[in-house]
Formats: sequence, structure tokens, C-alpha cells
Amino acid sequence: MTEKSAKFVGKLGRRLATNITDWKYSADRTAALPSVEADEPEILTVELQGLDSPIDATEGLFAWSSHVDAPGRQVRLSSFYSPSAIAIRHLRTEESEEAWVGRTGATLRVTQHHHPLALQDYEKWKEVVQQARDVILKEMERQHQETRREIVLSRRDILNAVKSSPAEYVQVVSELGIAVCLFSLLLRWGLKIELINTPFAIFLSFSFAFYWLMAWLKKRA
Amino acid sequence: MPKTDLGRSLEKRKGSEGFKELTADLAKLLLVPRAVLESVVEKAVRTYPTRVKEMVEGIVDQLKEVERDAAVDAASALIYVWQRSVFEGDSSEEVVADLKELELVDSQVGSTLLSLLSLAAKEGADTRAIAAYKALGPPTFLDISGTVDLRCRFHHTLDEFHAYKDPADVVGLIPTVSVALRVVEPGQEEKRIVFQMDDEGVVRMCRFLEVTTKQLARAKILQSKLMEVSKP
Repeated sequence: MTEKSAKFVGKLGRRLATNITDWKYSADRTAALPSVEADEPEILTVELQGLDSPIDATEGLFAWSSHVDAPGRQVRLSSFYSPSAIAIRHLRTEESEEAWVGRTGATLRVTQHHHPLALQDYEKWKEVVQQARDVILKEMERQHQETRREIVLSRRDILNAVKSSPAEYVQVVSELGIAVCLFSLLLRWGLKIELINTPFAIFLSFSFAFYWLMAWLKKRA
Repeated sequence: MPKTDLGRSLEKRKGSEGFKELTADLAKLLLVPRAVLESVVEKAVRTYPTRVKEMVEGIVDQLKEVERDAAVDAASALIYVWQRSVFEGDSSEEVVADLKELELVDSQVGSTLLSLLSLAAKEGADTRAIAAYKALGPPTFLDISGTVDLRCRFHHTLDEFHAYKDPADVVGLIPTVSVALRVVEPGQEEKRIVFQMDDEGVVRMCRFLEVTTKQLARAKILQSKLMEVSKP
């Protein structure tokens, strides 16, 4: 690609129409002008095909995309695109418009995607928002069900353990009792609030500890 | 006669279903807590162009089921108007004046909308320039592991960016994270997936990893318990 055409591409816009003189299909420059709106830039995809010389990375377009070093590699960039650009071939689809400009040995394809989602009609934008909401709600519901399933399984697990061994049950009850007694004793000494009579709480704690120990021994046996 | 592009395009669609829907959704701005709308605006500015799923997630996380639908509708209308005004470079006042003229909003909704659009304009004066820098594509040495891409921004506005204004000052730094994943599937060739994330994406990925790790740990514990119980 010549320096001239590189500059020309870099300034994507009116220069496209004025600077190029040596394009193979220059006679067709009015044949198929893109009917895209000229008001705003979009994401452009530029594909370089069959380049017969290395690209000067410091020029125009390629200053933005200096990693484009191989024919056929795609880059994305933002730039202005003018309807006055020469288009040798033009293809319009629902998603994008493509125009090919070229010269001997090199073809440049410029794809202009249509306006971003938010710039389309409100109905379309809203539809996308609703779809996103539905997806998220479904995912939340799935997670909720999964958590429920885990809780049910855990509960079943504990019940099975208790059923299979009375000693386990005694141990669990003793641990709970000790925790309650210790909590009431802490309150008694820390905040002077008596939930359970202090000597009784101490007695209960030792009793629960005793039961816990007996259950543990039973399990071991 | 509307002054903005948004106003003109809506004028053409006056009476259509979309027009009515937008009117109804804008009216819901009054039903949604202000803090929720502000957080939507802040997030939208930070991640422009708006990622719809993230926007909706932010709302769903914050609200109860009853308020959720109204909030999603209101946010949808708000972001639609904001993106159009940002993209076309219209001022918040002009946009709201046009919407009032087209009877899309009454004075109360209009003032709420104006305050939110002004907040967005204040927060994200450089929004489009930042988006343009992000859209430049992956860094040159993306394929080399460990590359750090710290993108310096030299332009305040998109017009400056497009006009190739000579860089004078660094007006901002845009950290982007390049991710290269090696995907190995049984019986298939190894694939390398390379993509970029911004800080928002990194936060989301960390959250995902945290949740997934917890779920895996829970699943392991559960499995071991079930194994114990099922032993004779």
C-alpha cells in the first residue's frame, strides 16, 4: 500500500473520495455509494487482503492499529465514515454494510455496523433489556433452588446421622446445652444479666460435659 | 419543533407503540428510589457503551421483587435517552425540553430526568473519548504473556480524538487487562482465547471465582458427608 493511500485510509472520510486516483475500479466510484448515515462513527472492521507490501504503521489508520501486520487479519477501530467514500462493491445486510475499495494487488474492505443497540428504536432496546432481566431472574431462581436442595440434603444428612447413632444425638444435644450455659454465664459475668441461675448453669455445664464424654466413649467402643 | 436528533426521531414515531412505552417507562422514574437510579447512571457512565446485563443485574441486586420491574423499565428508558443524547452530543437541557415538547414527560418527570442526565454529563464528560480509546483494540504485544496494557488518553472529547489533535497532556489512564486462556478439551486441539477486560470485568470475574470456589468447597463437604452417611 502506498503512502498516499495509507494516509487516505487513515483519514477515512472525504479524503477517501478526493485523494485516490489510481484505484483499479475508479471508474465505478459513483456506482454504489453506501447509503449509511453520515452523522456518526461506528465500529469499522477493516480487513486487508493480498497486500503486496508491508504496511507503514505510522500512517493514518495503521497508526491506530499497528499490530496489523498480516494480510487478512482483522482489526476493529472507530472512525468517521463518509457516504462520499468510493465503494466499488457494496453489500447491505441487517447487521452491517460492507464496502470494498481496492487497487491492483490490494483490496480494502470496510464494514460499517449499524447503530449500536441503544440507538435503535426503543422497542428493540427494551426487548433486549427484558431478555437480560429474564435471563438473570431465571439464573437467580436456579441458584435459589440449588441452595434449597443443599439445605434439604444437609438436614437429611444430620437426621440420618442421629438415627444411625443415638450417641451422636446425645453429643449434639450436649454441645448445644453447653453453648447455652456458657452464653448465660458470660452474660452473667459480663453484663450482670442472669438468664439461668448461676450455680444451676455451672452444674448443667458439667452435666452436659459428662454426657458428651459418655457418648464419645460409647461411639469409640 | 424539536432541536435534538433524539427529539426529531421520536417526533416521527409519535403515537407508535415504542413512543407510548417510552412515555410509560419514563414516568416510572418517580417510582424508583433515587439512589438506585444514580447507581445505574454511574455504572452506565463507567462502562459506556452500556452493558445491558450488568445494568439489569445492578438493579435486581438492590431491589425487592415488587419494585424490580418498575426499576428495570425506568432504567431502560433513562439509559436509552442518555445514550442517545451522549451519542449525538446533545445537552441534557435540550433533550429534556424536547421530551417535554413531545409530551413524553411532564414537568416532574422532566426535572428528575434532567437531574439524572446532568449527573451523567458531570460524571462522564469524556465518556465517548474513553470508549473510543477502549475500542482501539488489543495491544500490540497481546500474544506475549505478562504484557501490561496501560492506555494513556490524550484527548478530552471524541472530536479531538477524531481530528488527531496533537497530544499535549495525558488526560487519563485507562487500565485494561488482557486475558489469555488456554482451553484444553479432551480429544481436541488446545485453543487459546485472548480477550480484554476493564476493571469492571475484573471485579465481576473475581466475584464469579469467589462464588464458584465456595460452591465447589460446599459440594465437596456435602459429598463427603453423604459418603459417611451411606456407609453401612
